[in-house]
Amino acid sequence: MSEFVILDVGHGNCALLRDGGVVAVVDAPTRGLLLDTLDDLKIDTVHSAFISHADKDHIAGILSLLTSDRIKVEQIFVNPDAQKNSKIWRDFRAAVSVAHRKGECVVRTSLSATEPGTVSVGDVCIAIVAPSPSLALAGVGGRTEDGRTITANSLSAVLKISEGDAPAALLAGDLDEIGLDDAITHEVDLSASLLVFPHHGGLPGGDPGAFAAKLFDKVRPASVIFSNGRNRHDNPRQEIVEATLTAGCSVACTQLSERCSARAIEGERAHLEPFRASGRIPGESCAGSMSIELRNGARRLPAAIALHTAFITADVPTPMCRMAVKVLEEA
Amino acid sequence: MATALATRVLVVDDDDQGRDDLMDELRDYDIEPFTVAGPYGQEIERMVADIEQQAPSFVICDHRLQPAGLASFFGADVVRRLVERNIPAMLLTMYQSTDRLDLRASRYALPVVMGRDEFRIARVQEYFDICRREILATPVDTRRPHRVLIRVDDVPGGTAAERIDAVIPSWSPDHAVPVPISCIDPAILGDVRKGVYLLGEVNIGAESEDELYFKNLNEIVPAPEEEEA
Repeated sequence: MSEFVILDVGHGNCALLRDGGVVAVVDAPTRGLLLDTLDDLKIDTVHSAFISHADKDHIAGILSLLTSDRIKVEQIFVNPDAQKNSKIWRDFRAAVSVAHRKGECVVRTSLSATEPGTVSVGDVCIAIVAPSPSLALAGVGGRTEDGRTITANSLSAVLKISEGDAPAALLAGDLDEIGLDDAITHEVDLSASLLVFPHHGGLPGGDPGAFAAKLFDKVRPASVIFSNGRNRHDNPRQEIVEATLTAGCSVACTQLSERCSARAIEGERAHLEPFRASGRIPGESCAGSMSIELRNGARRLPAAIALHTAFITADVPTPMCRMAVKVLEEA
Repeated sequence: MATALATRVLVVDDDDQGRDDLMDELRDYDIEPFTVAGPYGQEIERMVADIEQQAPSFVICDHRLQPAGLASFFGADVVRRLVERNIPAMLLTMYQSTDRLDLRASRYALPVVMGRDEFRIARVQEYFDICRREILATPVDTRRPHRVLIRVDDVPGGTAAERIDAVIPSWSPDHAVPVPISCIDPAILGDVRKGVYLLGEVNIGAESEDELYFKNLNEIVPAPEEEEA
């Protein structure tokens, strides 16, 4: 049976997938949580690593994976970001050269809907549903047909993860309105039962509520996860949580927003799953790291949901996920 | 791992008043405090042997032991030797800022370094646990070493440099940290210049700059532009 975990890494994204002894990692921000988790799980080989895009909160942790002396990365997928002269991109190139010198890592310089298209991890299928090749070729700094400037977020890869015919989980990276419009134009099937909301539930570069509504219309998720950091950027935005609830989705955040609890909630956190969570010790985790059952349609574990719900009821003073909204009727 | 308690704590401090205050506070927490007398001059091994003989469960050691003449060496060297002998020990100092570079050079061997203003007697058990886990080779997350890239952003002073200014992208890509030259393997020192990268072990789970340590910086990674050339 596959194991799929959305890790509480604070501000950033990181997902870990294992099936049949094959391991994949999607994104990782700074610090050692991913490496330490791999150590915990006695994983010494990552068969495929994916970098949705080259922002620090998605790529910085992949650098240490590439230079690790304990963990081997067999192949890494990334969109080359020729316009990006950022220091982190230069750092990434140096890390790739280290992995390359070790002779153990193949760098795949495309991550789009056509190349590689899909990657198998045991019986689990990872389908790259965005960006389209045409958007990827336009590159960061390029223009869309209607004159909008393409950013790294526009080119953020979106991964759809499924096992068999069961409904999928959608990892949306930092997808913005341009990327979403591109997927819609290309009639991409974004449908998924679980969505890791793009950009940590932060501002998408336009009207947050409208962006969320447009996204939910295409994805139609039953549940939404926000991979947020309590101390960064005030994520998830209240208007996005509101739009999520209005769409009838359940909500789970990796960390406690300050809007939900002005203070961290320290002490024994029995509701947290037995994976590392960067908010565990400082009392900043809400759901913390979450495991997802793919075989049954990309759902959180019922027991974990029950414990998390009880924690919110008992300990979280003003949970945004409980705000009163009028749920939209199914069309 | 079974829980162990720091019940017998040995305090090393050249300042009588500071030492007595700390011992009184420990008694308030039902911890039995004791100390070593000295003076020790340059005889660090004698001090370490005296400490070892008293079989403390934990040692709290001041960094600067010279002002009141307890010893002419530093507390950091005492703590390092004690931890090597599997005796949990922490360093206490009011000179974290002024001694930052010196402390960073030996930080890998010092599980806990605490400023006097941030030291909390109520957290002694926590400090002890961090030290104990390190001795058991199961360090806490903030102390676990990972082999990572270290970007050399500057070498102030050129060939006479005492430090490099470096960025550890997988710890914080926006934070330059001074790293003592003594942390770098002498075999590669000649190739260390602005723009190149080093490979070495860093505790990238560290929460603050003062917690960072650098170990086995023994490999140069050329700048990507140089590799292409």
